[in-house]
Amino acid sequence: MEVREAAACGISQRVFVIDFGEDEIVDIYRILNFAQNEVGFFDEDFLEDLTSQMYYIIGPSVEGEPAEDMEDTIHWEESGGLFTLIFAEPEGAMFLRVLNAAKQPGEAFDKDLNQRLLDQMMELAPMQLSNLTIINR
Amino acid sequence: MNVIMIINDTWRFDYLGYNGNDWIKTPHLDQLASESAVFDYCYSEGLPTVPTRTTFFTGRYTFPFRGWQRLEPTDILLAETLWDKGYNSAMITDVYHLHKPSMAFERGFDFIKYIRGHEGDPYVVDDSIQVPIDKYYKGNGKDRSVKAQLTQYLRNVAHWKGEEDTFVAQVLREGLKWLENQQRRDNLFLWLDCFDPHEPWDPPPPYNRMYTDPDYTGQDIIHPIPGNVDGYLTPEELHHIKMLYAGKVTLCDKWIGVFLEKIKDLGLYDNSLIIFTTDHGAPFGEHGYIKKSEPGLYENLVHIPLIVRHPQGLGAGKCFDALVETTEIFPTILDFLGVRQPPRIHGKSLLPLMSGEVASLRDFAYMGHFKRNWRVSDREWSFILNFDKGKENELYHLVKDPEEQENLINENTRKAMELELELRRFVAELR
Repeated sequence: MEVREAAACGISQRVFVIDFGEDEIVDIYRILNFAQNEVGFFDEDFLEDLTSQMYYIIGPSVEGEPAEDMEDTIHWEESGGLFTLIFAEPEGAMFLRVLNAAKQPGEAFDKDLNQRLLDQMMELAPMQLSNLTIINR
Repeated sequence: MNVIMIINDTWRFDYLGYNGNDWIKTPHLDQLASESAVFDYCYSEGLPTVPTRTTFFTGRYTFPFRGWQRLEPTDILLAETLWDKGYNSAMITDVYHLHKPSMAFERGFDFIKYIRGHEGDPYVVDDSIQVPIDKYYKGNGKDRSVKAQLTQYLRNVAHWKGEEDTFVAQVLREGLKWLENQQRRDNLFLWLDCFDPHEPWDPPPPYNRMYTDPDYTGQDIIHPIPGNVDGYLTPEELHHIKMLYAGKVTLCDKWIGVFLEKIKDLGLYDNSLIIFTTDHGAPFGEHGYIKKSEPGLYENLVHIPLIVRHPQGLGAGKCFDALVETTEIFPTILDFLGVRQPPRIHGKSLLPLMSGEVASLRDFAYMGHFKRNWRVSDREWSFILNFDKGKENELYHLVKDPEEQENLINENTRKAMELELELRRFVAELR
């Protein structure tokens, strides 16, 4: 898993991506699912590593208040077994809130956004995600 | 022998006197060009800023393989290739993207100096510094980041006293300082990468009013929001922005002149390969948008200046119409230094062209934005293959329509197909 800046020059918003390998897509799915439904378990070290990288690569804006009328660009892509979450800088703060809700259930986050990401992941990786212990088995 | 590379980010091909612009003042580069090999058809292969540096440092195409990202551990880099060949190398730059967490583009250089603070570089973090943001910022109601970026920039430069403090002056002066400090003025490899004339377009006096309309009464919009011009900028504002950019171009030329004069004093001018180029140009509304809000692969972005001054006068005073690309820099430098190329380099040395040994290096130039669009062109046609959903491919006749305003994709399907096949064949064969 790696958080990277993917575009930043002469455009209105910086773009970031988070790459997850085929085995790691399960880890992030478990985190997002736990935030959404408080069901199952997840790897706390993996979550810690992910949030640390987000602070390190994106910078202080990731802790800012998400704007209300934000254009929705966050989405998943898959290529050659690599799963990539792509988002504009202000959406980084929204995604971090989802992750924080997994750490501390009850924390506010955008549930609709998270459900959309979970649904997209299931579409992209049904083999890896449709048969997870506790969540759907 | 030495190599001195000067890169100035965002320098339009047509904003140079020697390229036929009769109103802009670039006397120092015009002079350098008159003593050098000038390449009239040089193209930037992988856009924008960071992929271009990857191309410079690896000599390999990026556009089919990777975009804006850090270097890969397996990359064989120009500075690392010279690491055990007796060269003393330095990179001096204010391109803060190369210095962001995890980027580490300084790999392989013996000396590195990052000059901090350009554009949105989070360098000065003192919130108490008041900046005149309203004087320079024009919003469009949808801006999420430009205002914050400009505020950061104004904080970064709040302590400046004059022209000597500008970024281009700092980078080139630091380059001179490094050269002066070398006890042995031979086997030096100096990489100067200036972010200017990149926005914010805030040249100091007299450059800020060198080209502007004296009757203009609006704002100095030094960091316009990337996007559509219509509904955001008036024609007067757009013209004013272009003239501020032109002022910054002349500022850069002045400091390049200072640098070149000084290296003459140091005895380095006539025993160094001196290369001047950029990474890309700058769209100013020719296709409806300003800055790089759209990944347009038009001449105003991809066609770039390239000057190569060989100490033995190879190609001096000649203009070459051969198609060349940014991939050529890496092998040209190694060829000049007599250092064997690492395997899998895509570019070709320019020296055989300059010596007249060959007349051309390639039939087509290839370039692109990773995953967004690719372009193939010769001197007559350009074909753009767009991957963005719903965006049609483009075909332009560069001779009849140099501004690329009339898309002939539906009129000349045969030519479009021929060029698309060539482009796809080329990418498929790249290893």
